[in-house]
Amino acid sequence: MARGLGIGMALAITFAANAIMAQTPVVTENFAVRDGFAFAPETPPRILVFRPEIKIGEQTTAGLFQNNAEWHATATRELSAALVAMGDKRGIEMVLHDDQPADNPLMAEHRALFRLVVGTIIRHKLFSKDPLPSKIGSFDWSLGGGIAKIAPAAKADYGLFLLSHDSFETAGRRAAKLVAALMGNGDIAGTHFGYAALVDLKNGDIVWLGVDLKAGGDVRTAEGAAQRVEQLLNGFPARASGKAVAR
Amino acid sequence: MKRLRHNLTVAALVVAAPIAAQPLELLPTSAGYQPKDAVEQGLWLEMDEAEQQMRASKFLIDDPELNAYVKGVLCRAVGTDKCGAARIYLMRTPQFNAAMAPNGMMLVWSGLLLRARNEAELAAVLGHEFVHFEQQHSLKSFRDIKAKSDAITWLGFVPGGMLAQIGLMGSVFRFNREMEKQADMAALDYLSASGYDPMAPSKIWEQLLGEMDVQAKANKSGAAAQEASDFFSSHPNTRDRMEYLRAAARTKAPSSDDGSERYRVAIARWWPRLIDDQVKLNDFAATEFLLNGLARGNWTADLLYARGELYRARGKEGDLAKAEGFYRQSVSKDPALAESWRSLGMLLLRQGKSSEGRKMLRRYLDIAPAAGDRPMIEAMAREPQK
Amino acid sequence: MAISLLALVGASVPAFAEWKALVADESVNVAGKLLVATPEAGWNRSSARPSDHGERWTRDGLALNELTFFAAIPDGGTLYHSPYGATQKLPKFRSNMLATEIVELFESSNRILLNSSVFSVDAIEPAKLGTHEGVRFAYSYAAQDEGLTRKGEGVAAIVEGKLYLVNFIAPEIHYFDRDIEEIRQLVATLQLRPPEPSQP
Repeated sequence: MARGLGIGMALAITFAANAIMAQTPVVTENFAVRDGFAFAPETPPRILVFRPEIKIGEQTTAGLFQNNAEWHATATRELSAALVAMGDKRGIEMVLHDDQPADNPLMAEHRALFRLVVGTIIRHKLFSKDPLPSKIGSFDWSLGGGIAKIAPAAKADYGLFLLSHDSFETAGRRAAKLVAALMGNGDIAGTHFGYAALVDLKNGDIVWLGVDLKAGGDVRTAEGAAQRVEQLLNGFPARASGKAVAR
Repeated sequence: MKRLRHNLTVAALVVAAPIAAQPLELLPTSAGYQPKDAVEQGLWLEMDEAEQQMRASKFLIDDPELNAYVKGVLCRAVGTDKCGAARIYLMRTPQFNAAMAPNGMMLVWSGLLLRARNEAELAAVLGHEFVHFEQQHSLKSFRDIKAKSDAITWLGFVPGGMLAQIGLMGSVFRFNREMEKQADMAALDYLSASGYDPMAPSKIWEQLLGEMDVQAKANKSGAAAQEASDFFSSHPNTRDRMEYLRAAARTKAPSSDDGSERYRVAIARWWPRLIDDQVKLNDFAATEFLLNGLARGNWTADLLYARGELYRARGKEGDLAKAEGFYRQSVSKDPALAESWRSLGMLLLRQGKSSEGRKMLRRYLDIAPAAGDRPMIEAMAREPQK
Repeated sequence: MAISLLALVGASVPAFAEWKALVADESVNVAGKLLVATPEAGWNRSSARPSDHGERWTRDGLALNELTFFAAIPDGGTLYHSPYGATQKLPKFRSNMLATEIVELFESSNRILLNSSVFSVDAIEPAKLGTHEGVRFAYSYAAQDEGLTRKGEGVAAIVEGKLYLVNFIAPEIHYFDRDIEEIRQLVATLQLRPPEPSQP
């Protein structure tokens, strides 16, 4: 419930920020945009969607996580489709890119660096848990220009990374939580979360990162996946298409 | 924790469960086997993803010859008709370990390659892991944990976590006795049928037990010693195993084929790096035990060098003199071993025997002119300006 | 938990610390006032210290760049605090160590702390730390489960029998090359203020 409110507020802030084309980075609990970033207005940006990291399964009574291969296949399909559809809606060309780490060591290394950078941003920037003073008022993390070499054939302007982790609870788990709550043992954190990030493929700059720790939408369905993508891409830079842009 | 991780987790990915009677059907080691139900499919998916990461791991020993050799040993042990179902990954990790995932991914840590003294010992461990795979122990265990209420987050490989998770498996060792025994016995059958020395499995356990013992004695005192003895009382498996394996081996046809020469040749190129990894753990007692076990009275130039490094690094009273002796023996056995000259030179400089020390360093540079530390060693080897 | 926020942040990050921004181009006392450094813009100093003799800085986060200063480690001291519950002992510094042995001490300490054998020292050469003769060493390594290579460069010297060492680590991709020249400059202008030796 609290989630809805948080996202609503964040959305409001994004819209406001985009409207005035702010030169300072937009940073909320859930997302951050690079200082003064905007898509080039003339041509639709081409975004390479890297193979999403999806983990989906059930949390059993004992708290053991059990992967579900069928859900994984469905979620991969639906999330990818939802991303492409979202791109269409916003005038962005989304291109799916299937990469496996072993096929492309350079990609694997950049993914690894990306994980470190995301972890760092979550720790030091979003959520204000452990802020780095030098980063106050800026959002300037990068993966470096070497990223231009990971998929040059795709001729894309940007790369999109997406991670989605979903752990559904079995009936036994829900019952156990209820009992725990009654006994005053409080919250056993729900586990639906994800992040997505947009990276400039020319220079490796992270231009936008959205994190959702309490994600909504059942990614095993088309509608749910669309909802998840909509929420994850909260604060995603809008494209200044001719009309919408303040002249 | 480290201790648990160190030695005991040969069958890491497996936890104990009563073995349910299963109808004979297509085994996972057969060609074309596909995971059956949702639980197994989920495990395979997780393992397939982990395997993708493994293939890109910086810890992989990416040497085609060595990989082919280890695979060949597995194939000889369990049969060429079956071994193809397993994919072996050699990991640069100095502890003794091997692990088998339900999808056929087998991890072999370099600490195992260092500790095995011959091909038969290696075959014993590979065969043991293979039996876990063939008999679907991981899957059965997973179902069993699921059934019991146990919060072990095994297979929680997010987003990497492979090595750490395997380390944790040490803590569930005590659960898996029945499966371990099953794997031990079936692996012994394999070993014997393929003509290897059936005593090899008990010998490798004997060696590990010895290493654990000296390590415990050396590192522990007071409360820690108590902890160590608790550890042994809750993990009697190693001694048990060694004994039942030895007894069972006596019922097999004896064989003197342990392939020690083939093994020596196969790992020769990697051996200096593997022993270097071990020496740099700063674990004197275990390493000294290990070196003695490997030498068994026959100290080669490499072994002497490693022992010199070990004593020089500890640097206690008398250690430097001993190290000097080891290096001198090492270079007399193999004058081309550059590192021995380097270390001998450093040791002499440290002890104030500067002139001779500088001479030794120059020997090192003569043999290894392109060494990365050349600028520093050259400076150290230079005669002082008068 | 099989799925957790920890997975996002990475399990290898140390406990949370307090950070203070360093002022660009202004000299600052480092590691118990025994060193004086003049950083460029963007550095943060951590309140969590690698040992009683050390201090840590970062620009973008410790996982992305880590600059560590150690000052006046005495004979018998270790480079880092031993991690809680560690059974493996860290090697000890000795006053009479040779330059190459300092590098060995550094390598072994880091292999143990990182639990990694994928660690290689690639170059060792004479260098100055401030005005003192010392050693520069370049290395690369991989940490468990990270899937990438990091590079590092350290400069060390023994002054009055005590060890001084400055070390920079960053991922090989982008981060190391971006900052290493700046770090070399910082090391070159570093001042050592060893405790007054007792006059004979």
